Amino acid sequence: MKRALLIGLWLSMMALAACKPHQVSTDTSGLGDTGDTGPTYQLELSPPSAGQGSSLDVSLTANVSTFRFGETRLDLGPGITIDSITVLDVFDAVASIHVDPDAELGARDALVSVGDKDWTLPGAFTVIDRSIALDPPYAKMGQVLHVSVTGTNTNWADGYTYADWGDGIDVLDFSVLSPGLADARIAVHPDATPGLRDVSVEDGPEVTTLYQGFTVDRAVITAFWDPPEVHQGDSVSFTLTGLDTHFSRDTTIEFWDDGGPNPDIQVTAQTTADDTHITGTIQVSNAARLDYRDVLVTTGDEAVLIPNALKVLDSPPNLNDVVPQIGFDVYRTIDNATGTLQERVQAYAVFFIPLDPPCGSSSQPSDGPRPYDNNGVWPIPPPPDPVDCPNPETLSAGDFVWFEGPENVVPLHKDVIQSTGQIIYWGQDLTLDDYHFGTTYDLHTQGDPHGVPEVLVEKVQPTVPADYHLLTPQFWGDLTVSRNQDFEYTWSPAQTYPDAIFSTQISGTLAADGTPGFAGCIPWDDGDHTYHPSELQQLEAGPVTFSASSFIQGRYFGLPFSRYQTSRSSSTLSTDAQMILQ
Amino acid sequence: MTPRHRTSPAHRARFAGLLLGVTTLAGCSDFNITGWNLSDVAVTAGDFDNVAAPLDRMVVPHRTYEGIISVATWDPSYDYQDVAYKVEDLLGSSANMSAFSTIFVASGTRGLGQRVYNGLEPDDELVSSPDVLKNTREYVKNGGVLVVTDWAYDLVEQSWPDEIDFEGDDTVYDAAQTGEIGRVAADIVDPEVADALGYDTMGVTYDYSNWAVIQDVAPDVRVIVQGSPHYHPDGQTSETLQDKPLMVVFQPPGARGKVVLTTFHIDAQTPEIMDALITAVVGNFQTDGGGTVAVQ
Repeated sequence: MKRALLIGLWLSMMALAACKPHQVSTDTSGLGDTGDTGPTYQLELSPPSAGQGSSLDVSLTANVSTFRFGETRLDLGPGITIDSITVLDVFDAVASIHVDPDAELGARDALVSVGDKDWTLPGAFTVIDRSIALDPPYAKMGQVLHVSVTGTNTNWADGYTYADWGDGIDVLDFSVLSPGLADARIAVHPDATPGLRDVSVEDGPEVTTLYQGFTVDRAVITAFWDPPEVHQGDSVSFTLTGLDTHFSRDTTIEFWDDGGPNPDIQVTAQTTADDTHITGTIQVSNAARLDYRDVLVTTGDEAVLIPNALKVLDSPPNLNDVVPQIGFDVYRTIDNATGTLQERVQAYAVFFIPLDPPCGSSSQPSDGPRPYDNNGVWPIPPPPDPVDCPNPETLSAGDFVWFEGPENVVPLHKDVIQSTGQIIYWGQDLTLDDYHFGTTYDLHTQGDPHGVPEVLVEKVQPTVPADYHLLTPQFWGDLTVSRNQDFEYTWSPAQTYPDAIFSTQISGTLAADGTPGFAGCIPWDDGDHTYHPSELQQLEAGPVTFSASSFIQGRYFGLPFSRYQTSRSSSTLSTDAQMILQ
Repeated sequence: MTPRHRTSPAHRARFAGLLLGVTTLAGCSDFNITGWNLSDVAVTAGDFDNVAAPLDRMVVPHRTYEGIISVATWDPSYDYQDVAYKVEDLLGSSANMSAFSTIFVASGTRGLGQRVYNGLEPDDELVSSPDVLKNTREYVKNGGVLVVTDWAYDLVEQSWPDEIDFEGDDTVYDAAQTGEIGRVAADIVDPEVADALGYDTMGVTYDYSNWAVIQDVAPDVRVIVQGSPHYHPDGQTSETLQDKPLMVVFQPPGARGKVVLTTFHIDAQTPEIMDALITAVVGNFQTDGGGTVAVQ
């Protein structure tokens, strides 16, 4: 440990020594060996500055024979303690110093004494208020490692403070642990230029730089990935060849893009032959993000990042895999302040290729009421844990798609989501006049020579049989309902029987455990239903949402050229209102 | 580490006989290190040591033979692609080598290791070439001065395997490259050199790890600098080398020239010391104005 510390201190010193030192040319009087014709006497301190509260090694370098063992001293004035001074040779000495936290800022003279000779170096050393130190101050080419960054008189904040190691070194993570301490996880590229480099920590407008403070060593730990290119949807064999690595059965392989690990490439088989060889198979999602990927190989504390290890190439879509997804719905909300009915009509269509391999899990099916008039209270299951899945590839079907019915045609306009590049068709400025009740629309695509051709798929998008409205009570103005009394409400029948279904629910918080839940029912669509205290009391008092929905499903269908014929559209006419349970 | 053969009595006897035929230098390890007058100089440009640095400081003309593996770390802007002279043209040609009194082979010169340091491709084109080794031996035999630093050590080990016992398996290129990054206070133990310099200590800087470690030397090898730096013999554990040679010089049996090897990089040392060491151990160079080789 001591040796490691010494090496660390030396590296810090050496690193700092490489920065532009304050160089002082002094009068050569007293230096008998320089002579009038000799070189200009130069004595340098490096680094020429240090932060308050820091401890470091300062090298003293002369260009003529100067230092002598046991007779060399350094004085940097009040507030700086010289712990030791070591003469390496007649040209070089190293002083270990400590700068007091309250040492006066600014430049100060350095007094160097050798025997009975003294040299004063005016302004040769400067005490600064902010500085940083790194541990370790070096890394191998190709290495991924944690570096402790210690700041003196800094005020770092997580999320606002960042570090920069320069070209060829990526900062994978920078965690501020305290205003003066941070942990940086860095990845040194295998082709990073060996040598000293600057490291900067940026905290808003404040930038603190350690000049030439980090060494990229020529020792290399890295790995080489093959194959260099894969296509979306590929399942391919790979080889990973390490250089000075220690692969094991526990070695993990991750594929990184600009946003970090991306699971759209998965290792499906992996065999570790020895310390430097792994073979296996990867499955590339058919929607894997295009372009280059880094490969991060981790074995215990050892990690190597292979930048741009492989490139994901586009695979042309196969129309045989295209799945249509369409919808046509009406959403109504009763304004709690005015009672106004706000209405939104939405129609959409998207043509996508399902993820292969599948990603994530579908929502847990929720339990709920069964026909008819069977009131109950159920929990609302939590959403599944978020999974970072790729965005399925979508196809263009031309500039327009239409829902064509016997009485009207609903045009859907092509829209490209900028962030994902996905294509979706939306009905624009739709009103209830566009939504014809009791209709089953055909799906008609304009066609795109590079995507889905023109097709007409008949009778796939239904609409609910009839309009309906909530009649009593008035669902606005902070409608307040006692949980100890029956809550009766009425509506104009939605004529759902037998093809559609009408349901209502009161959504709030379950009194039993404070989790989301609802009281629900599929009432006879006769226009009158009652929730009872036995259900209402299972919900906590407070604001709740009352919802009524008319719902219908269409037939199974698919595009004529696709192997998938399991699409099924639906339509909902929902009405939401606010009320208060007491 | 493979046991090394020391110079045998018969070998020494043969070498002693050859001494009768040489005119410039005398004696096994007793040859004069200092006082060599040198002129035409060639240097190789390698990745890790700018061996031309002291020559530039002393205004010594020299011809540069490009031998970059990946990047000249001492000057990443060095555009080696446009350098006409290549290290293969130098070490691969006895005639070209003989045009120079002194040849500096820099650490990180390509062709002198097992494989490139940042990849898996082999990098032993020169050191595994019998012609190159023959040229090297002939060059020194005929009076040439060969100065080799750090990673170029395989050229010395393969050319004169009995002179220096490097760390690790002698049959494996790069096996000796186990030194640790750091700085060490070292002793200039050769009295002749210490006298020439006027001091007998120097701080030796190892600016990169994995420098070539010397474990022992044959009796005819003179140790110029020795010290106790750290190394990692098994790649993991750090150990201290006790009083090991860090810079040596020898005159191969029957040779009129000499071989100087440093385990450290010339360009990482204190310039004043390095210039003095070069002058003392390698020789006095003809400075600009009288040289016959254009400075590259």
